[in-house]
Amino acid sequence: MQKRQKREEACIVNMVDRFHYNTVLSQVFSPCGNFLAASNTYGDVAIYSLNNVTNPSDATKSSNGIQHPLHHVQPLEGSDICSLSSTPKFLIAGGIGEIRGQTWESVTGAKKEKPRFKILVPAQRERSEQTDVNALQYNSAEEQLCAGCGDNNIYIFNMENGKLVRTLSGHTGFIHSINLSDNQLVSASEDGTVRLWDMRQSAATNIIKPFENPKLNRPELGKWVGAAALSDDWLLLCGGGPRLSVWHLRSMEVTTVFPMKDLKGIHVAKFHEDRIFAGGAGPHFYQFSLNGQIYGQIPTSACTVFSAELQETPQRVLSIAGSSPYIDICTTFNYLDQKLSFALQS
Amino acid sequence: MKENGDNSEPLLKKRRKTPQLNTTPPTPVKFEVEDVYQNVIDWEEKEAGNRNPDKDHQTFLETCDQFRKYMEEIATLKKKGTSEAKAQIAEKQAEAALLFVLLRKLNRLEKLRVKQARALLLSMKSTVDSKHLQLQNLLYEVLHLQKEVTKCLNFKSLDETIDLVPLNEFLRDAPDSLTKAAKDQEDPHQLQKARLEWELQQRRQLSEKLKETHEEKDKVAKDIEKQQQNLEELGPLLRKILDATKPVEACLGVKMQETKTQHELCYLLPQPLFYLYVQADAHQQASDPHLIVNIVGDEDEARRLKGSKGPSEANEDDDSDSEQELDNEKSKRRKRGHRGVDRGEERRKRLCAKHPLHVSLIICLKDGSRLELQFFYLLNLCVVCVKCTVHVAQPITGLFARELVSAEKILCSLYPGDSGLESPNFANYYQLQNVGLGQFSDLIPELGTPYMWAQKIAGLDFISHDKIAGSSSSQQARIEVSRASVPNTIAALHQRFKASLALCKQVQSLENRVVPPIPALQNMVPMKINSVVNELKPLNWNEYRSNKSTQWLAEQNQVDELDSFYRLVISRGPARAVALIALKNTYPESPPLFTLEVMWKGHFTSVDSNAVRDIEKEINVHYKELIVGQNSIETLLIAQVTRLLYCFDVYLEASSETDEDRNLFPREKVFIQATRGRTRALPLKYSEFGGGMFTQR
Repeated sequence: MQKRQKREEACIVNMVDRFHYNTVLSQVFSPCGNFLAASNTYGDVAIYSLNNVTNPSDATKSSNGIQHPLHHVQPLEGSDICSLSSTPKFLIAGGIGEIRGQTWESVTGAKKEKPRFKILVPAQRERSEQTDVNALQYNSAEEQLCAGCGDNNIYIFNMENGKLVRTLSGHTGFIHSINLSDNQLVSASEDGTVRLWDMRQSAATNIIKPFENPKLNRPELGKWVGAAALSDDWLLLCGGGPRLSVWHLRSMEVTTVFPMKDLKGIHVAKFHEDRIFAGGAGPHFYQFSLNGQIYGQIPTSACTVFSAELQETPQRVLSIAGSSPYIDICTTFNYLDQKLSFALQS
Repeated sequence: MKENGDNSEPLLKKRRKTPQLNTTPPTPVKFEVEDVYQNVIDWEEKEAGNRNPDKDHQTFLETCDQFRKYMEEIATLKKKGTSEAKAQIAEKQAEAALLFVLLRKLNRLEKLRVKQARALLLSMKSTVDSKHLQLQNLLYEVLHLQKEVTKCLNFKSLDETIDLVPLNEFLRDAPDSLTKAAKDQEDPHQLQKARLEWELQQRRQLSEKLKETHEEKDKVAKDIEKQQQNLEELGPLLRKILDATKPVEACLGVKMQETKTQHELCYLLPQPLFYLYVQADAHQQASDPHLIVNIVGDEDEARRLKGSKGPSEANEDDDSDSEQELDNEKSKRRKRGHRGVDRGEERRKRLCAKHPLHVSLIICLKDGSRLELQFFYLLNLCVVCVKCTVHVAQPITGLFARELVSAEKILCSLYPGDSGLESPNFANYYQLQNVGLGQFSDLIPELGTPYMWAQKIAGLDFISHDKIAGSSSSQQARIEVSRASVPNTIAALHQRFKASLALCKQVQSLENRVVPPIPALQNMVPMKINSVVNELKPLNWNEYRSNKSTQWLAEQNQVDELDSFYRLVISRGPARAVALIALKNTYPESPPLFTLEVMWKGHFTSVDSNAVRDIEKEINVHYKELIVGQNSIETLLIAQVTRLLYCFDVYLEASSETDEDRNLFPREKVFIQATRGRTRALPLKYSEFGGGMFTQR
């Protein structure tokens, strides 16, 4: 009896340890905007109800105000999840070698339901390792799913039948992130390049190499580019080992360099309205104007931010996550509002 | 007038109502002489009954009018005053006077009628009254009957309270004679009667059986008594035989004797130690040959103590002789008669008195190391205290490692929260205060440590008793408490001792900067490791806690003050890393916890570097891979340090971005990708494929 109790205690201790080293790689809001799904490297997807988050109940207020997820789902049956995306109907999870989709109803309703579809990422013969799906984005106009993968390629799948439409190849390092704007796609890679693609062609339309720019290069951090994003008005944002910078697409020139020193390695960079959001290895998550002025500096619980998602409706929420057992929530975009725990309530 | 004349006719008749003239007698027979008056009255009454009262009333009115007329005529005649008139007046007067007669008659009739009516009314009233009474009687009777009916309906028959055999069982078991009647007519009453009958029969049978069984029992009891007597008679006989065998035993060897003396001694033990001895001895015989159980101490003194008085009485009676005696013998300082010289000191000594005998448990490990536990019972504080000595087979040379096998480390928190610093017997607090002694913890060096588990294995269960205000001397040891906890506790002690020794050896080799290879893990660690251990130093709790990287462990109560802390420095070339290691009491169930600080191109901890965090995770979370084979307890810490060393190698080799760094740390480990995925994870996981290769987890 005593022994068993001890063993149970030890189990709990291990659980805490495991979740202390929790890393959230990706988050996505449900199409209705009422739920947040966050995936970690252990293959769990934590589902939070944003109603609970913005209107915390008394029970959560009393327990340090740290809320726990409604439940966990494991769309890949326990194997690693590298990226998440969403279509109006499905929550899509990119794992290792495969992409699976699960209906949002089954995700939020805690119903046991097998993933509804599965796409296998083509395996490369010369590689012994299976391919990570590092970045996913859904193109609703074409009903296509773009997947930036660990085998240096970007695959475009037709969502109707799950067939591979096109492979965008050219990178020489794995893909960190992709971003779509109309028919243009930008990809950031470990090889230090940012490539622009036209969705209808297989070859890159443009290549940017930030590490070759002495104003951007930080040799001690490497040349990899962790994040890239496109805005509607011909601007491109990228950063990683090199500093965060905005480029003008027509001229392919750097227009703004963001100087912050405590952001060592950028993993998240986003345009939102006329602002730029950026985060990575460092104690803060930043908000800038287009010309480099700092609007906001949010301290993060994660030592490295890997994911930041924001939405305006039905609730204004910015959710920042990374290598931490907690997810930071900002409802104003300006300061830290509350923390969500990734672990289930014990 | 005419009418008057018509009317007057009956009146005239009436006027002639003399008995003689009565021409219309309804009852001529009644005509009797004796009581004429009576007859008249009867007649009148009859007449009054027969006549119409309304008509009489009319007659009365008319008569009155007539009289008035006469009066007026007389009045007018008087005015004339003539004699003729006078004559007429006289005539009229006569006429008028006659009218009075009529009036009188009418009046009389009326009176009679009223009288009759009254009589009638009275009689009617009395009949109504009697009827009413009758009605009342009937109603009362009805009410009474209704009451009777409800009483009958509510009547509880005795048979309803009897537990009857269920119906189907009754139909099955009862004889046909009973069931037949019930079956034929579906009358529940009959059925009930039959069932009651059956019940009665059965109960009679059963009571007879009971009586028989009682008799049998008595017989058996008598038998037992007889046998008992026989046994008792056997006792002295056996003793004689034993005495006779003594010389034989002496010739053959002393083993038997020893056990016997031990067993004899154990009856002199106080109850808690007795239970402890019995249970531990039983455990030793049943399942643990490496355990040695002994009773040590002054036998004679124990005999004297047992012979004189129980400790509980001594506690209350301060001046009793036996108490004095005990005290003298315990302290061996004071002489008899020195009473009152140093009373406080004396009382203190007395309170802390131990029983002269104690139980010693020796837990032996395979390598010859021994953990010797001495259990003392404090007679007046009523707790069991433990003193512990550790004998290690191979001498410990490490300066810091020795601390790990200290008695306190091994015994402390055997069960969660059991630090042994406070007495589990709450009453002791007051007892100690009464004689001016402070905390129990101050007495531990002298008396031993009152661990909770020590009380448990001695059968003392303090938690379940509320002894705050009550006298502690009533504390009873219970064998079941002892029985329940002895095997577990001895196993836990064994395990703890083994773990402590294992940790001690590992820490000792780290202290000497040696990381011995582990045969069982040969395939799980790379052949060549470049990083080396530089230094191992112990830390105290505050030093450990003050580090940035250990904050979360302390906050989440993953570590506490009772754990052991070390600071391990490793290096490769100019790069250094410091690991803060927390060794928990519950090793190996809780593994050693590592927190890492890398001093290379800055100062990184898991709080600010993902790679450092990954290395920590590799050591703290995935430690289970390192538990291979039987002896993993001996190697877990070393295995974790080994993993730390090669992970540090990988960290330096894989994250070298510049040529300068690559020269410093040439890439010797084999890995496909230096970084993988968005986390840019390092290939920290070793697998033996392809002659040893590192991959990302």
